[in-house]
Amino acid sequence: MNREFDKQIDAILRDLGQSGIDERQPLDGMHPEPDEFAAFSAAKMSKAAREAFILHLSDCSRCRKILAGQTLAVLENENELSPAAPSRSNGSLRRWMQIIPRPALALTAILLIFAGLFAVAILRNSEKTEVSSLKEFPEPASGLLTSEPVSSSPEESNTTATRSNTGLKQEAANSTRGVPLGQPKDITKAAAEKTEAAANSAPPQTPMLRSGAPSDSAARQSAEQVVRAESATRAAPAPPPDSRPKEDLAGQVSNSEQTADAALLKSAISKNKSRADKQVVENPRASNAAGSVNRFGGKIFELKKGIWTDSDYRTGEVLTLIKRESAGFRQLDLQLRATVEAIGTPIIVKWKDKAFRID
Amino acid sequence: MDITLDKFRSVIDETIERRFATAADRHSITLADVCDSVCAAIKKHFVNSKTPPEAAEIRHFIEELSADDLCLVIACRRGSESAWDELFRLFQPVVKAIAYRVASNIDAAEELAGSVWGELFGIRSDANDRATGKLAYYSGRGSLGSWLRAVTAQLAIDLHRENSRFVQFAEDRELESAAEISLTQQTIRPTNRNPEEAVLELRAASDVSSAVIAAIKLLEAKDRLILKLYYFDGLTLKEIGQVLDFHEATASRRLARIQAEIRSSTERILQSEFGWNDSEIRNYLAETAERIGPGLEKIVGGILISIIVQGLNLLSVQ
Repeated sequence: MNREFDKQIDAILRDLGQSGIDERQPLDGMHPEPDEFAAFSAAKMSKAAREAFILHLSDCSRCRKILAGQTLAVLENENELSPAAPSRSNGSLRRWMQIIPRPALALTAILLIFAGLFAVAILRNSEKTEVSSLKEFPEPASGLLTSEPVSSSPEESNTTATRSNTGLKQEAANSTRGVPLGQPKDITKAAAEKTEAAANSAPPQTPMLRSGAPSDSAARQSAEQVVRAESATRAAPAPPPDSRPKEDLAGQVSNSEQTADAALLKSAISKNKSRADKQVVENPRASNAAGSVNRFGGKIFELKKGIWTDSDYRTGEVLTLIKRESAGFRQLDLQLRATVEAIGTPIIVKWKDKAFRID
Repeated sequence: MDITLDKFRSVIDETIERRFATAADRHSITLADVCDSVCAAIKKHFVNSKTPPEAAEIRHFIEELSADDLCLVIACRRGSESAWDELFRLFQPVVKAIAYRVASNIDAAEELAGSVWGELFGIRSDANDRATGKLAYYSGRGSLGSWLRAVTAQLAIDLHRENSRFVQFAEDRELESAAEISLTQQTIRPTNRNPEEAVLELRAASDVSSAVIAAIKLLEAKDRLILKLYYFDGLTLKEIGQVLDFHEATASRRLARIQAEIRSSTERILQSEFGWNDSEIRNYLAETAERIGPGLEKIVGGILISIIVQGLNLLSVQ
């Protein structure tokens, strides 16, 4: 028959046990000899002798101690010959766990809950660390995100040239090198601070996108790009007119036009976001297989030599070179600009039978 | 009962020769030496028997003896240096292990182990100028290792009692004094109840303690032994199982049964001897247990809540 421990009786008996009553021994002084203990341990006692021995033990604390010491020393000796006396605290804990199963279970549950909370906390912390490390990267050059002064004139930046694809990089480098290092930037200090604040408000571009290294998951890239583009849209109307570069101020769209433009851009991104997500879900293996492939707005971009290249683009096609910060960029189709914002620069996009290289 | 072994001589000799020849040869002793020791052991074993032993019983007794250990001890008693060396080499770790277990510290353990060997060797000599130590009392029942452990534990406890000048009381007195001690402890506990309630509570607790003690006395010897090993000597269920040679689960079941018996007997005694009714018994047992016990479930609940709160705080901070 299976009985549970009687807690009330258990508590009363424990109290009795702690009263020190086991420190006394019978007056008669007739204790079993060591021979009897050895025979009892070896189960070599007759039934009558065994009963007499147990009767004595049940009323003699001294002999109980001898028997316990004798038997338990054998077991300890089998495990290890330890000079240290056994710890009673461990025994007490084990006893506690044995006799009170419910608290023992509760304690186990507590430990599990605590371990779970700890694991969640660690995971959250690691995610935060990842995001904060990403924020430490410099913000990518973006006409929508920053008001960084463009050293070259609009004419230079908007140069539409018919060049071969191989000469593009050198050309772009030359156009940047054309600015003297010592030339003061055409921007006020306050404007620079505001620009920096606006840039910080936007989520950073992933290192993969900047460095051109393959990512681990195209789905994650797509999601990050969408978020980044949305943030860029939010950040776009932030800079005041006086903080923008002078050459940008001239002949550019008004603030209201920019706001409307940004709203349209946002809606275009949100439309494309669901489509991109759907594509990623539909073909996750394709995304994962090629870490340097990105999708947006039904287009597939491959990272070739550090440039996001539209899969529709064929080598040797005529390219139109556009600076991202330039007015020419802002005059491009909204969806094209959204694509550029989402994928990042440098990028080669095939758009309405024309190929654009945007840096 | 004085046992005459002459009529069993042939049985004894035949069994000893069959059982002890190899071991005696190994320790360079004669079968006559073995026969003396075995006969002494037989007499000692059957001295309390109500009926004279049968030949089969004597044969069985001899066959159960630890032949090698007994021959080693006989060789030691006969003063064999090599036997003493072997005894020391084989059993010094055993003696040390038990000494370390029962002694309070390392120095005391070393001292105890030394004392054990002194006791075993003996400081007195017999008529034949042989040392008469405790080793002479080993009869071969059970292993020599087990016997040495018992000797060491016995010596340790006796030394401890000598040192602490312990006053001996009868065991029956123990339980009664336990109730008194319990009562004394309760009286010194601070209470903010009114004196009448405090006195009633004290009286009730005393009645419950007395009834439980009486209930313990009503238990069978083996059940009482289990209960005392658990509650008075602080052994775990596993250790009790090892001491009494049964499984831990069996010990647990038996202890649960013993508790049920104690409860039943206690309730009966409280009703018959102290005039309590059912509801009084129920209430007072619960109150006594609650007062004595630490309220473990409340503690565990409190710990659980505090851990959850701490965990949520941690998450919200992050």
